[in-house]
Amino acid sequence: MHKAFHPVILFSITVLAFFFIWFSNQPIPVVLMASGTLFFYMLAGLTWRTIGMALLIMIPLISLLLLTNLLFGDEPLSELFFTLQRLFWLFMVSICSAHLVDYEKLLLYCMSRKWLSVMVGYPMLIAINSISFLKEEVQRIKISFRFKGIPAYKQLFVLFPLLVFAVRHSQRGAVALVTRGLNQEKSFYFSYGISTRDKYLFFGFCTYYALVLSMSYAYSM
Amino acid sequence: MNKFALGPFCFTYPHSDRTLSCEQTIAIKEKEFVAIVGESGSGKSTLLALIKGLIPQHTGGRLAGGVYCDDKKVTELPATTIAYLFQNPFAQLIHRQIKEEMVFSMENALLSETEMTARLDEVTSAFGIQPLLTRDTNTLSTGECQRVLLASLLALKPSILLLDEPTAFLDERAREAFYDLLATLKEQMTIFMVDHHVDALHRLADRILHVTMSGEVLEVGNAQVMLEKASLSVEPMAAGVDRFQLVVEQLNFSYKKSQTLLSNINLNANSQEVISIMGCNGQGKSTLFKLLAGLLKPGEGSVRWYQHDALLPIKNLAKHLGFVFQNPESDFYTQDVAAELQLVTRGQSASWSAIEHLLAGLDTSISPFLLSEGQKRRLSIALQLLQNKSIIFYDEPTFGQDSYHQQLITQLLLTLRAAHKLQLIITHDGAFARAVSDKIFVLCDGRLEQVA
Repeated sequence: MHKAFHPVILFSITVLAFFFIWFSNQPIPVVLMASGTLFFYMLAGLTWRTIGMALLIMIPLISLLLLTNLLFGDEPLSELFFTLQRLFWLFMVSICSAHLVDYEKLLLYCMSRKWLSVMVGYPMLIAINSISFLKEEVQRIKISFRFKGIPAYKQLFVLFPLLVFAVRHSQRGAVALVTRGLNQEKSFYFSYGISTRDKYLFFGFCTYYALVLSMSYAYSM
Repeated sequence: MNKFALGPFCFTYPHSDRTLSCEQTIAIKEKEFVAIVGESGSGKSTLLALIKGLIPQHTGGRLAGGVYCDDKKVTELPATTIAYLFQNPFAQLIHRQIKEEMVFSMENALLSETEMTARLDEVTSAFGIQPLLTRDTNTLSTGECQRVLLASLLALKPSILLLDEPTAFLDERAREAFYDLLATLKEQMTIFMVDHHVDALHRLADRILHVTMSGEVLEVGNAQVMLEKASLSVEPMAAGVDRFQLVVEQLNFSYKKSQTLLSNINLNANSQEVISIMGCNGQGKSTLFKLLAGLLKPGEGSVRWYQHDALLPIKNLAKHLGFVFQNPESDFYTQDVAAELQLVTRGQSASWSAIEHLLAGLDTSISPFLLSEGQKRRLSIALQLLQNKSIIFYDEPTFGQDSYHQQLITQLLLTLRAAHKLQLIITHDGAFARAVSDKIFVLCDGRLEQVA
């Protein structure tokens, strides 16, 4: 995945879009905001493949919600469709941003700016980095099940070693931070600053945001 | 550092009556090399954690007495004074980027940017890790990870260095280079090292501490103390009737199109053979095992298994194949060792009593995750042997083993060979490979070459 833009910019765009979609009561501005956000994501390197994957996850979920509401809900259809539309875009923005935002760099930026304490930020960073180890561990455990001839229904056991792995990983991570001398005054050798190009991008998004917000306000008048 | 005093102390492990104790004060001089030996599971790593000052604050348990440096408790020392390299180096990684990992300890020590740059250049060239700097930490092999972390810790220029089996994952050449490096380092700092290579310890150590199985720390004059055990005799195993053959032809494999990892690999193996694969770290040995086990598909070429001369479909291989992972924890699922053993034996008693030697001294009522690294390794081997499979793959079977248990594993493998098992081993231990193998291959630059 190509992550061309600074994670702080991408994260801020996501948060702004999320709030807009959550609180808006107008369908057209919601579509404009969501598609505008996805356009910015694509500039940052989001691929059609990721969008396709997100759709594959969302369509069954949204369909189930629609079916449940049609069968048991008493909401008017127009309101139901608007709720589902907002839900769809919230899912889309969430999944796409999760693929795009480099959370390690985001945390390091916040810690280097002293917005986040290193005593909180580094444990969070270890937790995020453990995801790749967890993925490998799941693979290893599955292989081991296969060679031990453990039947498929018992493979739900995978949760236990995985949970133990997660607990032990965090315990070891905490000890590693202590042994390597983490302290509140820690300095940062690398610069995690935002480039001028990224600042312009964010300015562009904010302008677009203001326009859609104004349009939404005009609609509600 | 001028004066370092170990003990007297008595540490009681959390939720247990087990203790680690030292009844007298052992005074360590500046720039002394202290080797720590003992059976796996005796408490050597705990002793290192005690010296680092992690006990009992970060581990639980009760401690009376302690370890002192210049009349101060080690917990009162600045974090940069004592550098500690864990037994499992992956547990010590913080960052995803290696460059960030390298400077992490220096950032904590509040060194200036110029100083950090100079020290970074110094350690990266000394350890030859420039090519690794652009990689992600999760792509490192265990040996590479160990080198990166050690370089990062030494950049701090600590007064005391604690090393927990630092050579366990290094190939012979890298291990010798590492011992040479230690010979240089011992002139600059005090070193405490847990290691099982007796010859190297005799060469390097000024003092040897023995941690007994009852948890006593004693000063001894000879690292050979570990071999003073009853001689080994392993009961023979009933020979299997299945005959297997592995034929690998022109195998090529790469994770990325631009980078070939394995090229033109040819290999033949039959039941009643033990084949060892050695080679430098990060050369693709574990990947080769996955290809042979049918867990990865070859890019080109073929991996074929035959049972009694008939082609064995790769999907049926799992029934006949046991796999000892490099990380033994990947093999554990249940709440205690007894349940773990029961899961593979399905309640039946073991058909081969020799496995009991591997499990001797293990507390079966505790979680397998609480065992020492060496004990975990022995349990993971036992779990595979209990299944009585005809083909067994071992990824670093002697990791974390003292010389007694190394001999035991050697004997077990030879007995399994006599029982017509086909065994493939990845190891960095040349002496072990020579003791058990019919053929030894070296994997280097993607090519597999037979050397013995």
